[in-house]
Amino acid sequence: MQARNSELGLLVLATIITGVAYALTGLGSSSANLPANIVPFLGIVLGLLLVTHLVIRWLAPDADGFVFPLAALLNGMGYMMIARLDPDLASKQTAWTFIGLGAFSATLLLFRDLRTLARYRYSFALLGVVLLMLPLVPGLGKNVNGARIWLQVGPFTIQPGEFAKVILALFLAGYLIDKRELLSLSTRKVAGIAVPNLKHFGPMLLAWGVALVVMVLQRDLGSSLLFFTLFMVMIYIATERFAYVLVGLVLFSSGAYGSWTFFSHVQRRVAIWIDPYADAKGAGFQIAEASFSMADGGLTGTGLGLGTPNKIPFADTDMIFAAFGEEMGLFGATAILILFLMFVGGGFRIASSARSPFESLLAAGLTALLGFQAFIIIGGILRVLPLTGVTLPFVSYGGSSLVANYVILAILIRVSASSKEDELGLSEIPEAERAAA
Amino acid sequence: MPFEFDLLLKILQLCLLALLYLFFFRVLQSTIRGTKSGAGVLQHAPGPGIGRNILGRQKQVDLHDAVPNGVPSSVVLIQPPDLSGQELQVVEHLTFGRATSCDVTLDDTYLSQVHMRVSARGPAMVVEDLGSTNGTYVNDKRLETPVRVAVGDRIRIGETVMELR
Repeated sequence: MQARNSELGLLVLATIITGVAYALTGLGSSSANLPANIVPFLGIVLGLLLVTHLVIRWLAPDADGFVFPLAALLNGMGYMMIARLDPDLASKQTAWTFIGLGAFSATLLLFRDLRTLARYRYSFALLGVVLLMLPLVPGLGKNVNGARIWLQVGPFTIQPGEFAKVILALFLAGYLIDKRELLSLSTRKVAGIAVPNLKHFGPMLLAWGVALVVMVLQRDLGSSLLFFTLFMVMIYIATERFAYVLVGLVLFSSGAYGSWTFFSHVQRRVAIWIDPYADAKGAGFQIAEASFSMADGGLTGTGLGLGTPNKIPFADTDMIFAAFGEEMGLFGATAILILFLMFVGGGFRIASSARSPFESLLAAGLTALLGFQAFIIIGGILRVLPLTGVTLPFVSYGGSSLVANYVILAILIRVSASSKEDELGLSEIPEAERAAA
Repeated sequence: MPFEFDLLLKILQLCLLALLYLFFFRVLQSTIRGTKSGAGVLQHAPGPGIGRNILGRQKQVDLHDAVPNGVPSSVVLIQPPDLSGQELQVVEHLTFGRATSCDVTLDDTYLSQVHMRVSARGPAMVVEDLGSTNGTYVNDKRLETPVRVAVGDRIRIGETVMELR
């Protein structure tokens, strides 16, 4: 219960920070006034967080008390920035936040013991691949900005790939726990390194294939990079064999080089990455503008509502980190990074104290997924990596992404609650049966 | 007047940044506090305390009565013959398996790398299978969930048999 009390304190603080930031966007805007809806806004934020907090108290009282406030603050800061950039999108994001927290509570309610999920691993594999490929079905899928990753369902557009990530992580955790001994067994040595039997590299090759297919058919570089990283991280954690990382890197390099040779859109991305200023008003505009924005922000930023992050294309989705860099400066952007760092730290702590290997691997994989996603997009904006369009988890505008990330959060909370219950609850452990003497 | 408004705004912006970093400070503070108290509970489980320890003590009383032959404190190997008679004290917990990282490494081809764990949880002794391929048997019954064991119970993993004392 101590965890719940510190969670409550942190949630109140997160609400205050979000509220202050939201108020400042109004004061900084051209009207120079507090936003008209500041009081209902604060009420809704606090209400939503408190209700979810009570749900955790009810369903997972012993769970970790840090990951939810960290996610809530990321969500709050992101919402504030979206509202400042595009008020229309903000009202949609409000709806998605409600749905996301609803999905969070539903996941906690429905899945009391995650271990039971391990046995459905092959169903998850099928479901994940189907979800991933669904946008390719003519009539269902929709092309947006050159990537075919959207699904049109009535008035909504959904990105099934966001959910496929979570489901494939469930498959991988189940599969790898089942097979990890075979996979970590070495039968021969090549150049002094013990190499596991070649036939067990199957999952690795499968991952490579899936990532390549996604990249080729859907032209979604970000997601394919993310899938591949997820597979590699989980195989490495399960087997503790560095050989897999080496093979993965070789596969990745060859895949990356191959796609660079064959696809013009990949070549374009790389050219922009190496020199965005060669065509700063055309192809390189997004990156160049983001760099100018962040340079403008300096140490403490232009101030919320006082900069011009609207000039960056996709400032409210992929490029939102640059908007923080401009209006809150290096300190503000670093704060976003620290929030992710703490979230990932919390996730790995949950993974390392999990009661079963399956839950441990699942928590580690999902945490790595979220952390890498943040790294891929922030790295893209900062020109550490070529820019690939993925959302900044919890922060960017994007319904599917937000809901999927809240499901990930619920799984982490469930894993940590189960481990604590197991540590304390001896009453649930039955006695060994004895033959009548 | 506009100048002062700008200054005010700047001060408020800095306050926002300060609040954000205060949040990090609070997270770290409670993490450290949580780690300390968490470790305490694990190491001296039955110690007198508040909160969840009270719950733990309540359960201990019931547990003691429930185990007919008394709570074991060690494991004695019976099979294979060359290890027969070896006694292992269970202080916190013992893991059994083929991997060298296990507390007890056994050279038994039917064992998984990390096969089974015997742990002392407060006053009870608990045996659990750690996802092994060939399973863990207590009194010839394959474990589905962790079970509490008593003196005289037999554990079999692969071709290795041991008894609780």
